[in-house]
Amino acid sequence: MSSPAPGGQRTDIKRRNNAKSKAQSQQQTPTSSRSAGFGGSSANLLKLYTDEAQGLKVDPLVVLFLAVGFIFSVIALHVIAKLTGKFTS
Amino acid sequence: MSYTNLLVRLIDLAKPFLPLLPEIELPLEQLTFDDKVMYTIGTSFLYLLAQLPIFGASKTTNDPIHWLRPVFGAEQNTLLEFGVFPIISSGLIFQILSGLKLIKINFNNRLDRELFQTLQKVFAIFQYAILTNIFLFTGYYGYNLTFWQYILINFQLIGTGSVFVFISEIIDKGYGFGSGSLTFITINISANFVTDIIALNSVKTTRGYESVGALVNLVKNLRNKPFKNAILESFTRSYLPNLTQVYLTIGIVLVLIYLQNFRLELPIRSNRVRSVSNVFPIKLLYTGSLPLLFSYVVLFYINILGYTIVNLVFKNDSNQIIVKILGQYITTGFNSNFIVEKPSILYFFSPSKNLFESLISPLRTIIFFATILITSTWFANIWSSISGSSPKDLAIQFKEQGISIAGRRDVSISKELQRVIPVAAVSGAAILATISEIGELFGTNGKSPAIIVAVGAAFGFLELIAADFQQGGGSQNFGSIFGQ
Repeated sequence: MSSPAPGGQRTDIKRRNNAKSKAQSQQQTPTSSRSAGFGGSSANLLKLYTDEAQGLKVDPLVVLFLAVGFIFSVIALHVIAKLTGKFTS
Repeated sequence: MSYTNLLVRLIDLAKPFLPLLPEIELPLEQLTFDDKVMYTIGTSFLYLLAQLPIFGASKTTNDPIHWLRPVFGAEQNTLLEFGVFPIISSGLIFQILSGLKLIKINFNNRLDRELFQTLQKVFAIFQYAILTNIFLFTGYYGYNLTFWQYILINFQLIGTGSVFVFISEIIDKGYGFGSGSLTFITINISANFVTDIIALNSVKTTRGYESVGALVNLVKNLRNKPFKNAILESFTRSYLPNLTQVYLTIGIVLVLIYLQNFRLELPIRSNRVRSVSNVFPIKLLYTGSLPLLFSYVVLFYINILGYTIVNLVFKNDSNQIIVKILGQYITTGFNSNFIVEKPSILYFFSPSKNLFESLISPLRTIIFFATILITSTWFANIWSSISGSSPKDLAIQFKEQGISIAGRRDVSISKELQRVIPVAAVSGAAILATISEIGELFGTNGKSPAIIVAVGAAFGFLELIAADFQQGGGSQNFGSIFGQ
């Protein structure tokens, strides 16, 4: 402690401050997945689902076809209701 | 200690759903420009296709959120009853909470990120379910519904909601350009914009059949009515798109394109190569149209909460004191919109029907404008510092790429950006809020904020598309169209 730092007291303070700010910036946790470097919302676009979680992995085309299937099932409901005359309001 | 434990548990709520919810696979390699265009067109087409009438609901409904629909790409009485509101609100809320460190999430940890994403997804689907049932039990789909009608309407609306959660995930994961939910809003608003002008179909009104498209209506009026009446009527009809709204929307689009070019150019130079200098643009609309979107999320929550309390708990009974305070809903004639007409809390948080109404009740105009202004500027300020394009993040990027601001030391880059970015974001948001309110003064019923959101998102997409196109899109089929 008693031995002076090379370069004098000023450099010592500067060094200490630098080390402190470095430690501080490392401690800070990122505020969003983009600032952690993993993609996500940017300043002007809202991106929500960008990470691959361990779930049921599905191909995007499968989802698109299922979506079309879902919409057609609703159309089918309309058609069936028209034909049988049930549920009409 | 127990406090932080409690907060950690919020994302753990999503843990049971983690293995159950389908996850779109990340693309193995960067998709080609053509594939991205195809995915974007395909999903947008699906969104438009989903504008089917709901099966099993009564045809005449009292619509309490008609002026909130355009912003969220929602269509009355269709499968897209709530549009992408649940997806967007859940995303915005959780990303703000995590950015403000109100929920503790370590974004460097993979499991945390996965849980956080699943939580947003689950909450979006949950909101679809809640909203559907609020509408069912307040009699929006008619009274005396049978048990099967309840089940079927639930199945259709929650099903559609979940389907679009996953489809927006497809786009978000890099199969399309940018953001899925914003793609849907943009495509819906642009389609409606064209419909408002030149729709050829006509609707039966008390004055006989009238064309829906404002321009078509003008032509029809000019042929059938005396000149002065024809012009006046095409500009003032309140129940269908009129020319005032059309001109306002076109005006807003032009103003926004003009505003997009407002930027502050910071001179930057490379640390590695000498005498290479460039500029780094900081746009005035730094946060794009997201602040306005957030304001409408807030307004949606206020209105849906009020609607639920008034209609579900108190059955819209004007004798109840709480209904008097919150506001009693009244059905209007042609569109059967469900609105609050007497001064009360909900009255102040909804826009006026036309210019006349906004002038005779200035207090309402001011309060409505203040709500939008305060929420958007607050959001812009927060978002510019948490979204991953904050001054600090940019400073890190600059350092990695060996760039610094001319005449500044490395250390002060972050400070220099901090001086510019929040100011740009906040004033940009305030300007957008003002433009939106000018539109709402004339009674555009949510169309002016919608077009602002759409144009803002479109410019965001344009940047991405341009960047993608430069990375070898020129050799592709769709790319060659852009090149010419």
